[in-house]
Amino acid sequence: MKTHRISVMLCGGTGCIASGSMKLRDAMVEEINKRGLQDEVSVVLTGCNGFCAQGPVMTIYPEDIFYQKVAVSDIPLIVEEHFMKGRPVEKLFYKEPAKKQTIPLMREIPFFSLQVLRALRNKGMIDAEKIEEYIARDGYQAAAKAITRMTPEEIIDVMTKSGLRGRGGAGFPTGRKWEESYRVQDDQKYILCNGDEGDPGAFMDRSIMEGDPHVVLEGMIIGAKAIGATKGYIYVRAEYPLAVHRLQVAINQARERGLLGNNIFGTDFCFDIEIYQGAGAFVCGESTALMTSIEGKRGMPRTRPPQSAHKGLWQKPTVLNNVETYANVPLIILNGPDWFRNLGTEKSTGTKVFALSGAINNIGLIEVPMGIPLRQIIYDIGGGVPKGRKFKAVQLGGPSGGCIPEALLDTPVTFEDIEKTGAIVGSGGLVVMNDLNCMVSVAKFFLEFTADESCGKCTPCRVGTTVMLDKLIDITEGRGKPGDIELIQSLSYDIINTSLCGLGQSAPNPVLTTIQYFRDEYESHINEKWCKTGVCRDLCTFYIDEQKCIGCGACARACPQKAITGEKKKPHKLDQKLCIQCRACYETCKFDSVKIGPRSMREELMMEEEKELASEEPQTVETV
Amino acid sequence: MDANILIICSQESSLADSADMLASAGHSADCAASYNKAEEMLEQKNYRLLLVHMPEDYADAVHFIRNAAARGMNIIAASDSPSQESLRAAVMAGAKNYLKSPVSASQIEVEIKKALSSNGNGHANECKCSDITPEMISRLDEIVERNRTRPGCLIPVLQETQELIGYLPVEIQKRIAAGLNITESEVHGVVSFYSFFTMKPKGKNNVRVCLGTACYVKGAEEIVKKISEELKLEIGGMSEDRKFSLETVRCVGACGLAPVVVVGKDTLGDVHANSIMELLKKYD
Ligand SMILES: Cc1cc2nc3c(=O)[nH]c(=O)nc-3n(C[C@H](O)[C@H](O)[C@H](O)COP(=O)(O)O)c2cc1C
Ligand code: FES
Repeated sequence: MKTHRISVMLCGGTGCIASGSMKLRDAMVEEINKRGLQDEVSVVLTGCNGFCAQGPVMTIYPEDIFYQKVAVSDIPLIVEEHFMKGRPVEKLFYKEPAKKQTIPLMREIPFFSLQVLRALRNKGMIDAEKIEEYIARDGYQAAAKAITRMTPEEIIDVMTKSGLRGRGGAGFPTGRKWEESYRVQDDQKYILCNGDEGDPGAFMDRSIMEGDPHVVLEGMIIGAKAIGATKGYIYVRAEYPLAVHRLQVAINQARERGLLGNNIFGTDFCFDIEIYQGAGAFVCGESTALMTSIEGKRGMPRTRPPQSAHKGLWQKPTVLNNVETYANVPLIILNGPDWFRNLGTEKSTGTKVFALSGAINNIGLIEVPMGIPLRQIIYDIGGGVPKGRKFKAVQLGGPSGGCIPEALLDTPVTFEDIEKTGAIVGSGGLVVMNDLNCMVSVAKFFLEFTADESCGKCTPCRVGTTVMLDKLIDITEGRGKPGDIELIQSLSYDIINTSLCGLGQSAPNPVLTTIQYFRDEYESHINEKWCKTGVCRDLCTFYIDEQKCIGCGACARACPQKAITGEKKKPHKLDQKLCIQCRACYETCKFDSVKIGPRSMREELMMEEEKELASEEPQTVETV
Repeated sequence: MDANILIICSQESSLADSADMLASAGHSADCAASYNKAEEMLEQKNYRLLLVHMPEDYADAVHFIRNAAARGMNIIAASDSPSQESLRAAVMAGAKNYLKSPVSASQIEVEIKKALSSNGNGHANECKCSDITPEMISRLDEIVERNRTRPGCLIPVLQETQELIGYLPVEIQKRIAAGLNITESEVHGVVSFYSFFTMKPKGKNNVRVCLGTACYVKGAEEIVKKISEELKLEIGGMSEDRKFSLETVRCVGACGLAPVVVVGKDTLGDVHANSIMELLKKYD
C-alpha cells in the first residue's frame, strides 16, 4: 500500500451520506487533483464514524483533527489552509456546547474520549469494501488462529471464560450456546447471524455491517469452527440495502482469498456464508421466527423445546447470534478471555454499543464499558438534553424494554442492574425523552408497535396487546376510567405469563415501566382529563399567563391559527375558539408564560371570552 | 387502460356521475337507464365490466345480475346505502364485488384489473394486468426457474419479483405458486405477512416516513398527517396523479437524522411537517 502524508477519513455512514458526504468526496478528490496533491493526500470513505448529529464529519490523520458539518464550499479552504499550509480550519472544529470552546482533536472530544472501541474498533478507520484494509488491522488473524491452532473445545472454553453475553437483547452467554450445539451430533449444522435489528431507535448492527462487514464474517467463521457448522446465513432486514451490498462484497472477497469455501487455511474445514434478506416483520428477529423465515415461510415463532441448538433451521442444530456478538469474537480469540474481562463487571463483561437518539445533543453511535452509569452516557458522552429542556426518561430495549426516570440514572449499565429497573439492556437503542414527551403516549406508541407486529399465532399476544392498546387510546382521548390502570397491569401479567415468544412476553414492559415511574401522568389523564405536556390534544387547554408574558410576540408568530394576539411588550391573549392544541406556542415561549391546563378549563375560558366580548360591545356602540 | 364498461342505473343515482369520471380516466363507459335497455346494449357491444346500481328495492337488479352472470359477464354491484341483505343477494346472483357508490376511479381500476385477469376462467398463467408487460412475465419465469430448487426460495423470489414489477398482484402470486409448485394460499400467506411486500402498485416516488422511536419523539406523526392531507392519500395509498405513494416504516436506522423520510432511495434527514412538501417538490 502507498503511504500518504495525509489521510482524510470521510464518513460514509447512512447519516453522513444523507447529509451529503458523497458530494464532499467528489469535491475533495477534485480539489486535491487540481492542486496536484494526489500522491500526498488520500481520501477514504469509511463506515459510520458515530457522531451522526454533526455530519457530514471527517477526520484528518495523522493529526486526528476532527471536522464537523462540512460543506462542499469548505473543501478548497481545507485543502489550501490545512493540507498545503498546515493550518487546520478552526471554524469546522467541534464546539463544546457547555463550555463554548472548540476542540480540534477527535480523541479529546468528550463524545469520543469516554468510549472504548472493541466491536467498533475499525469504525471510521477503513474502507469497508477493501479486504486489504481490514487485514491490515489484524483482520482474519483470529480466524487463522482458531482454525489452524485451536480445537472446538478450546474455542468454546475461551468464549465461556470471557463471559461474553449475547448483544441481541436476551444476554445469553455465547460460550454456553456454542457448547450446546457443539455437543449435538449431526451431519449438518448451521450458524446464523441476526442482522434484523427491528428495534426502532437502534442502528448499531447497521453500522457494523456497513462499516466493518468482515468482522461479522470472521466472527461467524470462528463460531462455525467451534460448533462444526458448514453453512452460515446472515439475516439482514430489507431496510438495509447498503449493509446487504457491503456484506456481499465482503463475502465475495473472502471467497476469493480462500477465507470462505473449501479447505480454509489449508485445513479440512469448509464453510460458506449466504445473505438472506428479511421482508419487514419485527417478529423475525426472534430466533425461531427468523429460522422459519429463512425456510421461506411466514415468520412465526415455534414452540420450544426442541431448542434451536438441537433442532433449528430445517430441523438441524443451529446457533444464532447477533451482529455485535460476532464482532466481539475475533478480539477475544486473539487477546484471550482475561483481556476481555478487564472491562465491565463480573457478570456483564466487556463493552456494549449503544445508539443514542431522541432529545440528546450528541446523537450517534457509542461503545462504552459495561457498568458505566446511565447518567455518564447521557450527560458526559451524550452532552445532555438540548435547548434547555429537562430530561424526563430514557428508553432502553425498544418495544421489549422500558423507560427509566431521572431518579434511577445512576444505575450502572449491566444486564442485571438494568433488569431491576423493569427495562432491559436490549440491543442498544437508547432514546432520550424530554419534558415535552407524554409518557402515556409513549406507552401507547410502543403498544401500537407490538400490537401491529404481533404475528397472531398465540391469543394472549394477539388479542391482549390490542385490548391494552384500546385502553391506552381511551386514556389519551379522555375516556379513561378509574380502575383502568389496574386493569392494564393485570392484563400485562397475563400476557407476560402466557405468550409463546419473547415478543408477547416483553410487550407490556414499556407500559408497566411508565406506570411504575410516571403513574401520576396516567392518573391526571384519567381523573382530571389533563395531559400536562399538551401532547394529547383532547386533554389540554393552552393559555397565556398574563403575569409572566412580556409580549415578545414569538408565540404569535409560531401560531399557525393566528389565535394569539396582543400588542408588543404587553401580555398576549390566546383565542380558545381558534386554538387547535398544536403546542407550537408552548414550545416557542422562552419565558414559561404559555401554560397548559386541563380540558375543562377550555369551556371556562371560552365563556369568559364571550362575556368580555359582550361587555365590550356596548362600549363600541357608545363611541360610534 | 381502457375497457368497455356498462353502467346500469337511474339518473338519480350517484353512480351516474361515475360515467363521466371513467370517461375522463380514459375508459369508454356507457350508461343504461333501464334493464331492458341494458339487455339491448349487451347484444350490440362487448362489455368487460358491468356496474349495476342496487336501488332500495333491488329485486329487479338481482334478476338482471343473475341473467348477465349466466352469460359470463363480470358484474360489480354498487349502492348508495349498502345493506347486508342486498349485498348477499347481489353476490348470490353472481356479482363479483359490492361497492359503496359513488365509486372512485381507483376502485374501478382495481375491479377492471381483476375482471381482466379472471377472463378466460382461471388460466392462472395468463397475466393480463395492463401494466405488466410480456417481457416482465418472461423475466418472472426466469426468476422462478433460477430459484426453484433452492430451499426456502419463496421470499427471495417474491423480493426479486417485486423489484421487477413494483408490486405483487394476485395473478402474479398465482403464477409464482404454479412455478414453484406450492399452493396459492402459501404464497398469499407470505405476501400478506411481511410488510415489505405490497399488492398495490406504488407511485413513481414511494415516500416512506419513519415512525420509529427516535423519529416519533421528534414529531414524525405530524409529517405523515401533512403529506396525506396535502397529497390527499392515505397510508398505503397512491396520489391521483400516481406520482407519490405513502408508507410508514419502523426505523430505517438513521435515527441520528430524526425525523427521517425516505423518498425512493434518498434518505432525507431532519425533516419537519412544514418543510416536507417543499422537499417533495423536487421529486415531481
Ligand atoms: C420479538 C423479538 C425480536 C428480536 N429482534 C432481534 C433483533 O432484531 N436482532 C437481534 O440480534 N436479536 C433480536 N432478538 C433476540 C433474538 O431472539 C436472539 O436472542 C438473539 O439474536 C441471539 O443472539 P445473541 O445471543 O448473540 O444476542 C429478538 C427477540 C425477540 C423476542
Ligand atoms: S427511529 Fe427513525 S430512523 Fe430510527
